Amino acid sequence: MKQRDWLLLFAAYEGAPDGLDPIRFQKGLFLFAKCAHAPERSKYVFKPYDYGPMSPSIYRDLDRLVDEGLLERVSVPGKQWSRYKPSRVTFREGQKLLKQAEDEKLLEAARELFEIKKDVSRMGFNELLERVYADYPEFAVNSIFRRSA
Amino acid sequence: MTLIAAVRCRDGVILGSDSQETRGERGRRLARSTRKVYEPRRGFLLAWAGAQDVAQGFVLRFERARGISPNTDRLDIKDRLHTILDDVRKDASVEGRSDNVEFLIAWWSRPENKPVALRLLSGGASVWVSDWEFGGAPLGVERASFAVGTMRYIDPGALTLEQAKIVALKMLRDTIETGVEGIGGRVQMGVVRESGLEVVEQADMRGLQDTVDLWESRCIELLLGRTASPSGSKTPDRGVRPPN
Repeated sequence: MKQRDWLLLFAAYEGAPDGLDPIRFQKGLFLFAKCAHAPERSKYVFKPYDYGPMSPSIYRDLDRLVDEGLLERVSVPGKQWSRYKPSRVTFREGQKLLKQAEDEKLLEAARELFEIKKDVSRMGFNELLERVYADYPEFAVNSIFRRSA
Repeated sequence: MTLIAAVRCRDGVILGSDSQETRGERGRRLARSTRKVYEPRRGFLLAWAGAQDVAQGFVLRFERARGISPNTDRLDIKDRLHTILDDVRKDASVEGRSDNVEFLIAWWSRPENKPVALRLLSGGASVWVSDWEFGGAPLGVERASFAVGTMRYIDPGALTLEQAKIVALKMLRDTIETGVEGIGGRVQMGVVRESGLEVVEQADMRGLQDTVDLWESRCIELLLGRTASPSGSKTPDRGVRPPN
């Protein structure tokens, strides 16, 4: 499975029926890259950015998934960012990707990604960022948000 | 018209603008996207507002001018820039359109080892940028000043360059969103720091836009506590899950 397959599977998982913002996609796939069972070739490469770990490739792949009709882009009032919402097509592709993960003996990784999706969908932004900054301080060095002591 | 802005922070200068160029008479105006922030010559970042042909005339002369570099005394640079602009305005082909052109020009002054930025006006005046400075459409400048006023608790001189980018972006996009005539499109931005200049590409602007959205979202959480999370949606969840 390629990087973008895991991104699409992340979107297809239950937990956020109205979709997720780009920050949660970034943080979710970052946490996945840190998982024990995530295959090396499936990991996006992250750099420490203004809001912690960020991979430009995730932005690129999200755009492609929208262009290919696998995700819907939903504008959010008062924000420049869009939410990326799963559709029936997303869910259908998600099922196929789960089967592929099983065939490639990557179900443990798929389960870890599922747990991450549940976590990032449940957390507020402050909590999510604080968790990532606390666990991976090397990715917080360029954050423009100063952390409380 | 246009909105251009400069802000000096702890370790650099940021120039920003909208990206809309408007042409034609009232009632028959056409808008298109144009680049307003760029590096006209090595070591100098420029933003322009006003008549495009006049601005281009200035930039061409500035590009070709000899003996101007960040190593030059900044007062000499200022005099040279005024001379160049005066020459442009003598051109009969731009008569009548050269009265309302403005520039923000920033560089890292090597003699003083600090970032400097100059607002250059066609009437012969100029202003050194101390914190915020704006140029362009009067109503846009008014709205931008108001937008900065709502963030007056933030001292730009205390911000890092990355933090100042976010504050500048918020000010520019908030101003653009008010819908002032002649101002619109995406935000353009460039930065001057000791190590050099950077014109921020649109792909990188996306990360900055998300950072501003995140900043605003965190402000909301600071006031209201945790806001509704995506998992709290009432929409039926048809998502998939891995087998146990």
